[in-house]
Amino acid sequence: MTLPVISNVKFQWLLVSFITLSLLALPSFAAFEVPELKTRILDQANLIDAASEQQINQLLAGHEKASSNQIILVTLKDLQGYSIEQAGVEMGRAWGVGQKEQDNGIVLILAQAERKVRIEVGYGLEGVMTDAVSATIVQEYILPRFKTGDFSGGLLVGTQAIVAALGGEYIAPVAKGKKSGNRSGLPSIIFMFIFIAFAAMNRLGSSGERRGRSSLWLLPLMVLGGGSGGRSSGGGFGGFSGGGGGFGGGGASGGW
Amino acid sequence: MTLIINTNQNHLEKIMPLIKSWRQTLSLVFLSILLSACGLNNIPTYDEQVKSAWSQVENQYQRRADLIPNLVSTVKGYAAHEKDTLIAVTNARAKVGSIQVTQDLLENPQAMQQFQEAQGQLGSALKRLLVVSERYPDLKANQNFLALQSQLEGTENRISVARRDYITSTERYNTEIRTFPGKLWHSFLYSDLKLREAYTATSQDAETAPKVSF
Repeated sequence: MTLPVISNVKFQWLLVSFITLSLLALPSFAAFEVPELKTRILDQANLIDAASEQQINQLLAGHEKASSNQIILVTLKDLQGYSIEQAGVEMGRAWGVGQKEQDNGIVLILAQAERKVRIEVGYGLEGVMTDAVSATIVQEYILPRFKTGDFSGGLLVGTQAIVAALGGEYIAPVAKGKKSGNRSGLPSIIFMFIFIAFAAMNRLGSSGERRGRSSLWLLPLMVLGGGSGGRSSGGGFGGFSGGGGGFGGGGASGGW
Repeated sequence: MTLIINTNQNHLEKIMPLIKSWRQTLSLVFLSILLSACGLNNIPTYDEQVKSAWSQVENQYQRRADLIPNLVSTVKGYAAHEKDTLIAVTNARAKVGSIQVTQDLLENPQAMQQFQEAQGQLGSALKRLLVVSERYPDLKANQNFLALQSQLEGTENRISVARRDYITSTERYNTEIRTFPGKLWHSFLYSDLKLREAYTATSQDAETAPKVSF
């Protein structure tokens, strides 16, 4: 009689692990591998000198404080075989550049190996930073300096031109402390189930001597704890984090 | 999944009053969590996402179509004797406009293919127009033309982003229907929602640059 019991238990575990695996196995798509972003400037190709970096950082931090527009500057060694347009959208979306409700992010990208530069514009800024404006900044401010090998200068002038183009035109309503996104209620559901499990264990485990509702008071705490765990990931270092802005392929590219 | 539900109910009916070990309780709880987190709503959610991704594609195609009259009239001013190319663009745009863009494009693969073909033709006619305009230095120096050109390039990029998003959402929707938990929900509850066609290249010459004879 032991054998069928064992196989039954095994079958159960097999089933459970199968379900778990099938839940965890999300389809993965081959795509541009987005580097980690810790500050506003990601200088992977090591092209920006310290003075310019500081200047750009100050400019962008100030602009974000004033308008909530987020501008990120990236230099990449190469594009992993993708187009700069595709890489731009992937990075903007992965980092969530711009605020969640306003989609007011911009990524300025330099690809060293491909000799390409691009201004990737988030949905919310497409009206101000039109493709024509982006193209003008790329062609007339950035590329002439890149052609002489002055990458720091080109990027500095480029970011200045972007900020000037945005210049106070887009001042989003200040929404501080509203960053927590609406995550699904899954955590609180799990907490609820755990709570119920414990309650059941307490009751059924000691059917003779009931321990009372020793853990009932935990319920509201657990539900709250599950619900308020908003999103706070995304950067962290140096006070920088993407706000969850969206991108749809606006902007302009150029090569030198 | 029926199996699980049955055993679950059996457990509840027969064993619930007699549960002794915490292990049984825990596995019961685990199963019920799985059932609720199993993606009961995934299929309709993904279906809506496919629809909104598709309307974004249409939106960007419309944006391109809106740019064309302005572009054509600008080019005409400098390169009037590129009549054939200009007419090709105008005709392709008219053809695109004549196709009824409705929600049931998504449900009708044939109409969808027609729509895609027309958009593909318009795309290659536009490419040809831009290549032709390279020959006119005055045109290339025209600020209006440069602005239109960058807008057209940006819009082409938006179209490809929107299409990629549409393909991704279709893929996710189809995968959900074809793989394990979703397949069961589909057969129980959502059998009216069909698999969707992920779409293919729009025209035969989609990958090749247009040739212009000088």
